[in-house]
Amino acid sequence: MIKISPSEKQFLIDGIKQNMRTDGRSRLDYRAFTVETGLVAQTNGSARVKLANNTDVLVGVKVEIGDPDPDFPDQGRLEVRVECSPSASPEFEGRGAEEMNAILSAMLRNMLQNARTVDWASLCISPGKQCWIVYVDCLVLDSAGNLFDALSIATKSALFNTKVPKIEVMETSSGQTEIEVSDDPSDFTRLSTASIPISVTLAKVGSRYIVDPTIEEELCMESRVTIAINSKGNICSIQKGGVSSGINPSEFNKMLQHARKIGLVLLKELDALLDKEENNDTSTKIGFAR
Amino acid sequence: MSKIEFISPEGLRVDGRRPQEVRKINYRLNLFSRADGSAYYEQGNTRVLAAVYGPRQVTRRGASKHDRAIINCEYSMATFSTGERRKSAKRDRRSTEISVVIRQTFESVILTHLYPRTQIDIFMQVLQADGGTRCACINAASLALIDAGIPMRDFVVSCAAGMIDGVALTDLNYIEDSAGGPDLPLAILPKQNKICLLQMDSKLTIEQYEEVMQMAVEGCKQIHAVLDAKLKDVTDQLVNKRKTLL
Repeated sequence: MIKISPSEKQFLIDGIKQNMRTDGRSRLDYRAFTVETGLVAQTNGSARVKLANNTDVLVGVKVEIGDPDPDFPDQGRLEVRVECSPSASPEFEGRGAEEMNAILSAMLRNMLQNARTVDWASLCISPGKQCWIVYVDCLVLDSAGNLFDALSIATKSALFNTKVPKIEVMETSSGQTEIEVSDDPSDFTRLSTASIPISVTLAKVGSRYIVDPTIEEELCMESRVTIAINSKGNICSIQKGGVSSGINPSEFNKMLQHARKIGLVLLKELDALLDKEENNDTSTKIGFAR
Repeated sequence: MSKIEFISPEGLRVDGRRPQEVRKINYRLNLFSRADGSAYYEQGNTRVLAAVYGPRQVTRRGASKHDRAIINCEYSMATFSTGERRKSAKRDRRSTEISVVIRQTFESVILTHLYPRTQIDIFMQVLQADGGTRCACINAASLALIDAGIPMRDFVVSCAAGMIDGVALTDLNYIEDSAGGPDLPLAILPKQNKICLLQMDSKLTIEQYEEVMQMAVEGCKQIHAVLDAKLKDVTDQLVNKRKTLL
């Protein structure tokens, strides 16, 4: 667990008051991020996102055929799991990361489960019997704050990169369904990822709020608001966390407006990056060895 | 299904290698900001990460040793690292066994007596598994320890070898590993020429064993040459950076 002294904390808070953060950003500046897709061969889609070189997350998406959720028999299923690796912090060893994993997975699941983010009906194979299960497995490799946003950007990128094999459903004479999965690796469909939101996290420090907090800033924040924004500028989920006394509703509205503005810029940036990644020749990818 | 041909008539393996050839190796040091040392290591399609913390205060009270540092290892495989998705990433029997084996390997190599009452953590994460993850993790951990500047008696390099259809092969990939033949993971200290890990779980004649063992030793030496050459380059760069600063 990273620890900071009271004087260091005061320094951070005073800096934020004067609109100058320790890494040179102003209160509403977002850190630069990089996206790489298609790094893990054994997945249907994968992405690695780094925020300012230090927060490092890897997401792998695997699709498998399985039973649909009995409550939604005509839709595909989503399974989200986040795993904080001890390379991000030694306290994540063994069962140490369980609480953190649960919080992060729940946030991501809520963000994606929303019916309009992905066309879940298109992942149904035979209603009530079989569907595609989309496993989104996230690995937090290094942490320098704001895991929420990094994970949401990486998840969107990995789903964008995901290739679902084409299948053919055949009805046998006995009324059973048989599925034939295409052997041709170039025969696949993509998921509709355009309306998947990404999250923007704001932290309240003292009487001000900042966007994209670093790990040190997370230690001084009183409350955290994570807001998911889609490409239309609509709010898809809100989560307030932190230990503070609370946020004034009028101030909260202002935070929402800022999050919306920043979210739209980030989404545009991400779309451009993903398009570039998609057109990139895979042989030029270096991945982790860079 | 017809039987897979592991060795072609020309004497080449399923991925086109010759029997004594190890897969392409690449690695990188110092990837992570929070860990004291870290390494990414790839050998063919097997890709692993290792992070090292310490020497630091012992986290589990009572585990501290008055005359040396304790080593703590954790091996885990990402849920997406294998062909079929894994249900859990850590805490299965295989992971625990590998963690213990790797801990014992490094306990004999790290100069633990220099850091009494401390703990050194080695965390390994498999991103992609294509055979030989145990050996890849040992190599990655060895590099991460070097990156962290922890004193060791020697480099530890590891390589597995096996035998299929009477031919000894070094550095088995997943397909060859699943063929059911013997698998012999070996870790050596290349400069001191000592064995620090050796496992074998199959029936072999003494002659065949010697052949496989020789293959594994040769594999380790090839890997050591690659790791050592690149490490010298990396160190050179570091030294040069320092010179420009002064």
